Amino acid sequence: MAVHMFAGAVEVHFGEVTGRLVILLFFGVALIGVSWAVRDQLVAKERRRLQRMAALPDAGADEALLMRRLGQRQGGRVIGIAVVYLVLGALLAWSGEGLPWLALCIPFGAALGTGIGQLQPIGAVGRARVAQLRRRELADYVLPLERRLLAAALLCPAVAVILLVAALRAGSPRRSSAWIGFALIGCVALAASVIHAAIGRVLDGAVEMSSAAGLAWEEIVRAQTLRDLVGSGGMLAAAGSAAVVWWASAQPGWPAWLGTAAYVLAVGAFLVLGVLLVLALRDNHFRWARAHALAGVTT
Amino acid sequence: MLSVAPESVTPAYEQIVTQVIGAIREGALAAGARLPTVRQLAGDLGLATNTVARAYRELEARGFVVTNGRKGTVVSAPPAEPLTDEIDAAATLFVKSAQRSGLDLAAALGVIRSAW
Repeated sequence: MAVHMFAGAVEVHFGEVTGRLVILLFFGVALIGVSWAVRDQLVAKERRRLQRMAALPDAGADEALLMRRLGQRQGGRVIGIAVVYLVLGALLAWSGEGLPWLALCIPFGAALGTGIGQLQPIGAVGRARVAQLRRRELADYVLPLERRLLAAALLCPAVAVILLVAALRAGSPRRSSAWIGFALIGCVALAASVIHAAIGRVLDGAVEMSSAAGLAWEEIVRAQTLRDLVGSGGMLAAAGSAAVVWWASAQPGWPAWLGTAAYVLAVGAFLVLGVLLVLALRDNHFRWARAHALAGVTT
Repeated sequence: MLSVAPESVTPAYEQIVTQVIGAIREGALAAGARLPTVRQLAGDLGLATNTVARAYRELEARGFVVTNGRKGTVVSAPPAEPLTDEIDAAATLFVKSAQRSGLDLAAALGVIRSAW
């Protein structure tokens, strides 16, 4: 950044990187600030949406706890988006490329933040200490095909590593591009493992409401969180792996077939995403979760 | 449903053990049924994870559940009921008669099989 002063006037020239960072920061702070300011309205909107979709009654005695649960989720979501946007955005602005990664990672940050928010205790005082004698499993909350697609997507980082190793042996790329490729795949794999762990924690998350309607709400809110985690995690693992291989194939020295492999991986990733989206839209009334997760929960 | 009364003089882990055994005996929990994870049950009941883990260890020691890695804690086949005094006395009598007659264990079991 260069600063010139002429007779009291200050003229500031931002460098390219600094300019991108300032723009990023401006939009980020504005977006996050607005989201934080209107979070109560967003919570009320989410409550109405879930109630309409799942055809749930009011939570009755647990209404205050429900609003607190949804509020924790909303707070976690905003923080998750903010962290991903600012950290990743700063890195990408600095590197000057790959801004589409933000589109991949913001849903990941939102879903992870929502999940972490949901795990925060809502402080139910003097609640009935009751529990169902069944183990909560992902199969109770999302469709079997969604689970299979997630499992397939979580394998994509391993496939990408195999492709890069094979290409490294076949071609003669610069060492730096190979290291960057492996590091990026490592980041994608780490994100995938975080999602995997988050799904387990959300399944184990405590039920704190105790009325019949409250218990049903707990399960539907959990189903929504898990669907978001499955969708965003699958998207990040599949599309992220494809993007890394794509990036590597564009660097000098890598064999030509890596471009074809990247193309195939990208098409596969888009297919996975498309099917996940269609499944989520088709089951938008939580029919599966209501039939499985709510089995045994009195409504 | 499992419930824990915090004001009870019975320790929480014992309350869990008793109710799980009751559910198994009544058939509400069949062999192979997966129990909740320790963390899930502790969260739902508002207990420390150590308390639930102690209950699961007790259940495992008494043969009602088995814990194996990925599957978690599952209900095992119901443990054999203890022998009644009558059967115990008859078995002792039979073993003594068999020993007096010079039978070894395999031959004695053969006699039982043919009589079964």
